[in-house]
Amino acid sequence: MKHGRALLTAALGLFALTPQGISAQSAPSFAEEVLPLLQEKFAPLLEREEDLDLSSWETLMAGSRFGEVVIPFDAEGSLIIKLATRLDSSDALRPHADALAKEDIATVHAWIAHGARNDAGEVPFAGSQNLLYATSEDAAAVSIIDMDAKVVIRTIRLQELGFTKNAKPHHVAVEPDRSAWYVSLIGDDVVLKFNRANELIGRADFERPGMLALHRSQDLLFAGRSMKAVNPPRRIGMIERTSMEVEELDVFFPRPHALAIHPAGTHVYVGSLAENRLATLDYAKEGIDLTWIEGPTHTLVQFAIAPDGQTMVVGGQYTGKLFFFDTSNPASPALAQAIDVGGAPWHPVFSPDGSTVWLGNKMAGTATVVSLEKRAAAGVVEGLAQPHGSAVRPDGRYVFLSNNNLNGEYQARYNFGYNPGVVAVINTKTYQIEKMLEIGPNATGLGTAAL
Amino acid sequence: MWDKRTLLAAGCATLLLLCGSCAGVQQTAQAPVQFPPVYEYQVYPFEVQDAEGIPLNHPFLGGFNLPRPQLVDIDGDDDLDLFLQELTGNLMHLENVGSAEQPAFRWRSNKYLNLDIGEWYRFVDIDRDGDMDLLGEQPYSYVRLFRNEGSPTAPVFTTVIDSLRDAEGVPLFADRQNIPSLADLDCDGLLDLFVGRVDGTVYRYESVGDDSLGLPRLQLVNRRFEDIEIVAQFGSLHGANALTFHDVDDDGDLDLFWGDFWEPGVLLIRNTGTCAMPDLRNEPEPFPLENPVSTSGYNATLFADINGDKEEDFFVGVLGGAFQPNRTTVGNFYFLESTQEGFQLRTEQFIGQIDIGSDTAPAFADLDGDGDLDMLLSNKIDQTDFDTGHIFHYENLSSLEDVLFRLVGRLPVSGYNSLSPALADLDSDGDLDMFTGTWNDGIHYYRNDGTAQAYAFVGVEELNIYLTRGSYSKPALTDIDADGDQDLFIGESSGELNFYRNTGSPSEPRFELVSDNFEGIDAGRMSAPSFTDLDGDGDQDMVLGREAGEALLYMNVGTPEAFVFEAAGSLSAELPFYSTPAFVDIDGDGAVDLFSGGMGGGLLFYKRIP
Repeated sequence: MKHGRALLTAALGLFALTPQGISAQSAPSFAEEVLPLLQEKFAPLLEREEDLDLSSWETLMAGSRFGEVVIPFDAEGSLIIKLATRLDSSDALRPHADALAKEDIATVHAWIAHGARNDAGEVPFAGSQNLLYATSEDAAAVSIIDMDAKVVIRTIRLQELGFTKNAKPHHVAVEPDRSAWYVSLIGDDVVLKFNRANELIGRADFERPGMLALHRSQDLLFAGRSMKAVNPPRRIGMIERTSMEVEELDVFFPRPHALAIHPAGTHVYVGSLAENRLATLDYAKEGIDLTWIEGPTHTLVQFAIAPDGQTMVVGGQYTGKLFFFDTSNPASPALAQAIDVGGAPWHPVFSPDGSTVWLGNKMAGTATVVSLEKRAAAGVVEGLAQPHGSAVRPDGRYVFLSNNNLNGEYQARYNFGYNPGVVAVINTKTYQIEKMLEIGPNATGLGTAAL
Repeated sequence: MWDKRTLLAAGCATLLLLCGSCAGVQQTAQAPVQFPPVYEYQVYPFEVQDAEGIPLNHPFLGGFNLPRPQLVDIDGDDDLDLFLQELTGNLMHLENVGSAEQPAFRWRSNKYLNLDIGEWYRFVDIDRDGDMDLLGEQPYSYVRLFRNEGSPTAPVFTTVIDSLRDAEGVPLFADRQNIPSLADLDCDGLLDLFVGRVDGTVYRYESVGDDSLGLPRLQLVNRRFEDIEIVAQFGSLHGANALTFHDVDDDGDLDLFWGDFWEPGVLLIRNTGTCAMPDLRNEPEPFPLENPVSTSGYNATLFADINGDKEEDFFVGVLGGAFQPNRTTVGNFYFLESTQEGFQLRTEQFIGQIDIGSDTAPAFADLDGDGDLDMLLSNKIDQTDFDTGHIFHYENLSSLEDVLFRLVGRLPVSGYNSLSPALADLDSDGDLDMFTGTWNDGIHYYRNDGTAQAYAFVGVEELNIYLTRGSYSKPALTDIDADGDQDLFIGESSGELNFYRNTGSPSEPRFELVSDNFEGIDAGRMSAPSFTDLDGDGDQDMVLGREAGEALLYMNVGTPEAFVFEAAGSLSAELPFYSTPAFVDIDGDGAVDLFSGGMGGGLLFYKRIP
């Protein structure tokens, strides 16, 4: 195989900059110092946290009905510290916060910053398997969610790693074996690689990266483009994951955005934000074919491909259409059907059994559940706030949808002076939102090793 | 002394080819020219006419695809000069050498005063000292200020601060795809800054006085200026926008004009308040009201009195948004004159030039057997039929005194994108046959079944060539081994080079692949070979155009029969992105000049200095 070799990458050594590196030696004792403080002094401040059990380290870390109250290593992002230090003065709980002694807050703060460990030195959720990575563009952060516990368990703050506050992390891809994950920074023109311990271990310089798609059997990661330029290149990036070297592949049309890899691993699909076309790339042979979608401007946002590889869907942001492509021949995706789902369909995701597609309707504040068999909506979930990314837990029981919430449609449970981004946890059997996990503002892309 | 007539007259005797990218006419060798070659970029070397015979005012400007214009009197001569951004970082300057009533623009620079403006720019007198300062993007997404420390007639720009800052000293952030605007909206004598956001809202910063450098301290006073939320209203996000303020209804206050990636037109948000108390909480209206413009979207607007009638005319630079930008690769600089009947569209190409779309490639050949070289220029994609490109034919109508080309039509070749022709008489029947590269369908052979005077190209499928990999094929024909037939080199997307030797005969070509990685050469991306004898040693040297622009030079240090190419750096000519060099002595001075197509869809000319 031969390619143009515009290698833009600088390989990195290990950047052990995450808070996990802080020594546990100086951390306050949970049992002797922190727990009594929580039970005796912080409890009134947490009275709205239904189902929160402060009786033990395990129950504390399980969080409340609404989500976590402690994020290990992220004291400033933990609800308990935000309540103690940043609660709006008009909130009825504020007197409880004001009553806390600074040294008590400092003790809890230090305990969290050192990992919120128990007295055996265990870090919460160190062994979590089903991890979900959620980007917060306006906080320059990535929140890591345990999809089983349904709580935020880590926060990666990119400014602490030397990136700008406008780094704008946009999308995440995760290794199938969970050994590493990748995030595109559309404001800093780079794709980063982190290991399982959330240490920065590589970077690939790439102008205006957007969506990411990870090849599940080859050492390749593909990157599309974001909107953050007047005229971004008409190419996508093909990144060798081991070296983080970038090769750019032409896609012929402007604004390449939507991105997916066929499960067979042979073809990459790219959609344009500026014209009704998708490109099918045989990247190994450097071949490319284009497919038109008739009609008015649709604006293809993002693809999802069924686990069996037979069907691909993509939403039309402008027309509210959801298109079904027959991808049984990966080289020739054929438009099979289109249905109306409305409200600017954003990132879709298939259930693990391939029977349904979930997608957020960004402008409607809803999510649509689509039956693949019937090619029709099977349900609608209300109560979302500019839903963006999507992911499904491997067992299919829960779907996670990130919400920009730039318009404040979701009202934060507490007023900390900004509209938080939100990750909705939706029960796929009841279509009910079970949790709205608040993260940094402008939550966008989601990434998981599952599907 | 070299006589121009030896080029322009028919039937000249030949000793040596001085033309690497042309066919049908052979040019005689002249006195050696200096080496390494020195080229001078010229916008106005000779006349080129459109299909109606109207001269193009700026023929070799290179074409526009996403112009961001501004008209401002930068030299204090009381007429408006034109600035225009087509490429990131570069500001083109065209001086008005006419008058305020009858403008006549003359190209001066592709990179005005060598200033790097990032992704956008705005001229504005930010320090109120009577001359124009310049704002641009400080990569990425901050606001750079070039302060004019010269005078209204002789600007001198200096960078006084890395990024403009707000009142708290924090660098101002403005998403680089959103072009902000400055205006004194509330008539307090101080400039306000308006920054469109991706969600369709507008940040308003208000000047609260100057700092120690005399720069305005801009305080963020509103994150949702006038509750404007353009994008959401139209049901979408993912925005990119361009803002302009102008008092369009002469009521003494400034109205807002909004161009957006998601909007094919321009939206007017009328100010129904007063100068001191603006009120823009009004429904957007497509503009002009009587005849709204409709483009491919993402329109950058400006108002200026271009003809001295005291009425502000309306200009639109089309950057291309969600509505098929290929539609506007030619017509993308609208001029609407302010008249008694409202704004009237006068042209979609305010700056007339050779512009056929995007990603052009030139070739020269005597298509009509009149002994001079006609010009072919191909593009990537048609503006209405997106499944094909075209090859445009400019006939050489030169006289003994002057060079003149006129667009006379298109070659009857279609159905493929990114065409790239190379012509030669491949079957020795006295007329010119053609290979043309395509985007992703190999290199097609067209046999000329007509005559030297009237071509009739017929596709011969069995002689098509399909590369081992890659797309955007760019063929070049040359007799590289002096055996009397034409050999074939093909550049393509990988940046490498394919070499096919003609093992047939002058009358029956047979191209056999010698190497799909010729000499291990890699031009980066989009290699486009061209051949010419640069050093006058009698053999063909090679120049490789490429996506990065700057062409690579490979000198043939062998012989005409046995080539040996040595890398020799790059050609000293600032070629455009996606350069496609072609060499021909167009003015008959004995020095082979250089043409290049490029990303902008036009053609550039570089005169070789003898």
